[in-house]
Amino acid sequence: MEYVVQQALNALSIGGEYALLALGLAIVFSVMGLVNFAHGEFITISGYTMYALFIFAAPTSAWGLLPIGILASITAAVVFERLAFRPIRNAPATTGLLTAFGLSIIVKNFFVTVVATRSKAVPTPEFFTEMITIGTINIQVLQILEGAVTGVALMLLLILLRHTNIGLAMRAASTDFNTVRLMGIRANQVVLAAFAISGFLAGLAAIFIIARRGAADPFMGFAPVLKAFVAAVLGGFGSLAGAVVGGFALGIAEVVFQVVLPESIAGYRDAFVFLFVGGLLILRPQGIFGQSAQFGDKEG
Amino acid sequence: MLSVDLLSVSYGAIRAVREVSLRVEEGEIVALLGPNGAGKTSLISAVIGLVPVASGKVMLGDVDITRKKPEDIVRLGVTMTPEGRHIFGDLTVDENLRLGAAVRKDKAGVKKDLDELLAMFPILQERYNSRAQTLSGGEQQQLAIVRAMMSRPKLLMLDEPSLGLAPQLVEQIFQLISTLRDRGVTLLVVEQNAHEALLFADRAYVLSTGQIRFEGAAGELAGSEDLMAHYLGIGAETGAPDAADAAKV
Amino acid sequence: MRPYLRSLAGGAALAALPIIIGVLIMLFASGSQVRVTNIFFINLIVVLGLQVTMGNSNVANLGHISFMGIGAYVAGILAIPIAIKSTILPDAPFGLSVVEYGPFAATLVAVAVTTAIAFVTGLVITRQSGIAATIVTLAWLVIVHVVFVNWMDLTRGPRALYGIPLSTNIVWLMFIAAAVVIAARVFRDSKSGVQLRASSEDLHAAAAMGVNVRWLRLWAWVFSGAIIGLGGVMYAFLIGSMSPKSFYFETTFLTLAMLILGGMRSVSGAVIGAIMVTVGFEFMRFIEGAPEILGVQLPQIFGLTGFFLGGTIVVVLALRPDGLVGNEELDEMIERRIARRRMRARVAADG
Repeated sequence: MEYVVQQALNALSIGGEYALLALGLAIVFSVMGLVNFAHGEFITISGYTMYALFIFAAPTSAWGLLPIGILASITAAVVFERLAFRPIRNAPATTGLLTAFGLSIIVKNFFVTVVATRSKAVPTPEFFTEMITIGTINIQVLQILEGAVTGVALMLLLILLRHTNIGLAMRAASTDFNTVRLMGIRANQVVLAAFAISGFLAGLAAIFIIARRGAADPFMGFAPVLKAFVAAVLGGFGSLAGAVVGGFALGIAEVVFQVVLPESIAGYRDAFVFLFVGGLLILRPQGIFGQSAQFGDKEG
Repeated sequence: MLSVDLLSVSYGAIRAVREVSLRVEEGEIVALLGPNGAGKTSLISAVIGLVPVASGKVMLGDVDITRKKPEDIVRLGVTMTPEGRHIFGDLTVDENLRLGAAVRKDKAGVKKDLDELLAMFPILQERYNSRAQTLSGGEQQQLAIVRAMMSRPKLLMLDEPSLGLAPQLVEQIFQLISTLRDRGVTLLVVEQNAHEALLFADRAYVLSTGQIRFEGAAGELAGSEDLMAHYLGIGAETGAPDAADAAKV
Repeated sequence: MRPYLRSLAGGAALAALPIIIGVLIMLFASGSQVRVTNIFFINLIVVLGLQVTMGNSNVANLGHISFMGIGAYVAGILAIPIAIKSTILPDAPFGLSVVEYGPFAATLVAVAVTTAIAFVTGLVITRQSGIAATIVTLAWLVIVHVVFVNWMDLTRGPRALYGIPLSTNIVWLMFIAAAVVIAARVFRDSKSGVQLRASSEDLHAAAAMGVNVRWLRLWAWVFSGAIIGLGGVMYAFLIGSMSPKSFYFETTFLTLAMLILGGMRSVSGAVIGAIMVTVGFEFMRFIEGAPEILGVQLPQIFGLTGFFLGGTIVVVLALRPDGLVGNEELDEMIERRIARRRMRARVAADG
């Protein structure tokens, strides 16, 4: 029983992390058709900003690093949009995807050159790693926080998307950007908002990723975002609800494979997870929430 | 109010609109007629800034809006309902209308306009919390028009409001359109359905292969079978010709 | 001229480029330059294979290097002498520890295996369109990498697999690269290639014309897999050793940058891009002043070369989204220029 609860919490916290990242990808994609492969770099930039602050400002408490980490991620998202993605906004989806790849390479190499290839320790509040005992079950604070923060973030996002003009505009833009502009809503603002939200969600995920690893390295953003991509495709690329469901589904699948696979082939976990996703996509190519019969949509 | 001078629009090598000039005075309903592919949609899309202007000038009163962005032009009081309605299907009627009023700051005024417009278009009141894509074609067209009205435009351009609607609905839509004038809106209506449009318009322009072929009073055009046949290819009973769709992108 | 002859002639003209480069290097260059050129040829083969699928279907493919890895590992494992195998791969499955193939047989089997795997994966990947397809290709790259790293008995896992007899050289590589140039060009101009390109521009129109887009994409994917697999085989026989890292993101990015820079819509673009990135890379390295380098592979410590790669992709896409060459093949471009000039001359003469 304890084991099951423990693993379920694991699935929930990993799934939450994927959901935050997948949602960021999906928001940007639904608004402007861009597959942002540089999304992982928001995490990396967040990590190194916290590292730099830790080294140069030497704060007494690690709590102070957290908002700065999130802010760095948002800033990075907005700057990327302005400098790299705006010039190619109307280009085919493939162009955007490859530009994002280029950006990702540049950012990684920046940290390799300026800092180092090796990872650098980044402190997070000790509170994160404390254990809470409920009945007979020990839970790490971090896991609870991850679930709770993901939940709150999703709620805030829902309110934003339902009850603010910019939120409505973002939802509307996913099907018809031009008509949104005919409402007098500035295209740049909608795109900027999408990137800022995407950066904010990545920043939240970054805090948890860093708390778990305790360090930043130039390639840290890649693996989680790769999973987030798979989660987004699983949910139906561009569907916001799909991204969340896909994220949690992937988290659950990972934990299940972790538990079920015998020791000798545990190293293949990711391969099994991806094969599982591939199998699902054969049955349902448009993903869980995607629209069917859209062959060719948003295609370069 | 709106004056277009020698406006041209090109898509690559194709010139969709060639040196077109037209004028819409305050309080008028002007019909822009012509066969499919004549360049009507390109023309008003260029006016609103959705497609780039190759050459020429667009003035709104004293303001040059030739190369402004659509959102800035809308903020100056011009708007357009695109062809094929383009309502936001995933959003409710309510949310569609809120987006329509997104640029306005006067909350009380928005509320008042909303109530008045919903009284004029009662079906939207009934479907107020439904997702827009569940509305019928005629309801969606009404929604598109009301949504555009919510920004309280001075000039409203309607692109093929009768497209895809049953004949009895077409008349109803045009009747609604003519009542909009009473709310102080100037209208430029793009139509293939010349007969209906001319019943409600004050003046008309006929566009064909990207050029203006006729301009004058709506009655003059509607009253002359010769003119109708000559410019619109409309005989007594035949509908609009299916011209090549080449220029439409 | 008949279309396929024209395409063959165009391909042959382009294929002269690697031959000329190869001959010049053989005649005049130093040993390290020969090594750079050898790697260039292998990258060129891979980039051409990538062009076959990505250039024609316009769906970004991030999983192509998996086929390079599969080709290289299969050929390598088959060709390693039994004596060496008994120490490094004593427990190889399928009785492979007692098998030793010559380079030709190993090449044939490796390309066949790669092609078969490409076919099976293609069945899945071509069910997806656009971006989802791209991400599935990426997932495929990860799957293959995970297998390379974990299947200790077959691949030695993350450690290097070595002892592969060096069975290729610049002459072989030069001719294979030239042949692949022609093959890619003929495919581009073939009925399948033309239909595929048409479908990438207007899927609905293509489907309306009765073109089976899925089948075409599958065919391109399999053909591309075979070419890239061959590139991998050549890598194994040139270097003599490999590890899973050789077939992961660094090589993926490098070859993608080559294709994007040149222009993925044409075979000429693939060739020009491979040349330019190789030259640019070597130049960057020269500036970096790093003393001892082999080949075009990304160095362990990036620096200028990494920026160069990323910067190339971003800047080229922003300024010239279709790459340096664009949508037309070089010979088509030249022909059109000449035709236009003739036309002008004729008009002038008439006037």
